[in-house]
Amino acid sequence: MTHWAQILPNTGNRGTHSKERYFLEIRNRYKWLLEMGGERVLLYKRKYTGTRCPQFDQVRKTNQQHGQDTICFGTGWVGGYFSPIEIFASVLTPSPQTANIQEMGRRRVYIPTGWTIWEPLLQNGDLIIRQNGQRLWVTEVSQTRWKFFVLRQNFVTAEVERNHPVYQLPL
Amino acid sequence: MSNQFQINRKVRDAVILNLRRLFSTPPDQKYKYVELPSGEYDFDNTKIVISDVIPQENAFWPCIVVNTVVGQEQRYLGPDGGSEIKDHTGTVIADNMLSSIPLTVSIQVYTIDDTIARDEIIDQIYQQFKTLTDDLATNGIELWRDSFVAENRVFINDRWAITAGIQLEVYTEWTQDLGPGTTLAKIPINISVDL
Repeated sequence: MTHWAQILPNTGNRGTHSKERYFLEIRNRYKWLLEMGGERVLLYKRKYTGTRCPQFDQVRKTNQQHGQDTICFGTGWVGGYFSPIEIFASVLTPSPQTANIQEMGRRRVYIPTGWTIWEPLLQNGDLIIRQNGQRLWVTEVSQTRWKFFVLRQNFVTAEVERNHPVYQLPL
Repeated sequence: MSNQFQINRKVRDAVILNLRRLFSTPPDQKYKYVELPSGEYDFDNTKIVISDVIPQENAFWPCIVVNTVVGQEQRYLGPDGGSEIKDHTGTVIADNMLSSIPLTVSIQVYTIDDTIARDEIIDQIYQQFKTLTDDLATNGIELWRDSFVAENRVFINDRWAITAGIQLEVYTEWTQDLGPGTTLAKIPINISVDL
């Protein structure tokens, strides 16, 4: 039995009546689900610290989004993203892929949602690269929790336009 | 202007050509405009696309769109033949009708999350039309006023889609050569009477 003041789950106690056991079991089942039905993707965690990009504009405190920016990839930090992490994710497409005609061209509107396990934690601005080369921004993340601890992460993405510098990222 | 028809199209095309020349010529151009030999966009190498309102196969940023060409022409309400020049026998020897129209050309610049590119591109356009207006002049167009227009921002998928622009007010005039001859002889329509 967990003490009422204990913050971290007592993973050592896996008895039949332990609530922690259910917690770990839920996590395990999510993991199994993804192993069976998920897809292997690359997760690029966006940098929010480090060495400032030489192209960083000191007046506006912002960075160019130019297609040839292979130093910072539009992030404002040298490198742009941390080394990719291979994760399993289930990428779903709840809405149809449509084309939005705008003055600057025909824009593909493709907003897949998905979910993955509790780690690594996703953030807005992270990048997911699928095996077919598709690059998706993470635009929204919501977590399912058990007593503060994350069980799984649901996310919404948007496809990155084709001339964005992230297409220059080394795989 | 050599061809008196398609005024709107010629003005728009002249502005597009001027912009394409601006963004393709200097070797150190940051926003280099590149076309394939077939005349299509070289999406692998171009850093900008420049066109009119017709949607391309895919969206591209930054993008310059010569958006609208609006204007107002004063028409002559007098009788036909006011511009005819006749000889002593009454035969028309020349019929040149002068027309002119002031037009406003709207150039929109589209970027995403990039106010630096927005300003650099607009500054280049402004500077270009300050000094080099060859393509406009070749087509009989004079630029007499320009203005910066208000910016618009829309938040799409966690990013700001920015629209800014510059407006050019131009003046163009041309002579429409209706040719010599009687009025009836000038109507170039053949009506078949073979019933």
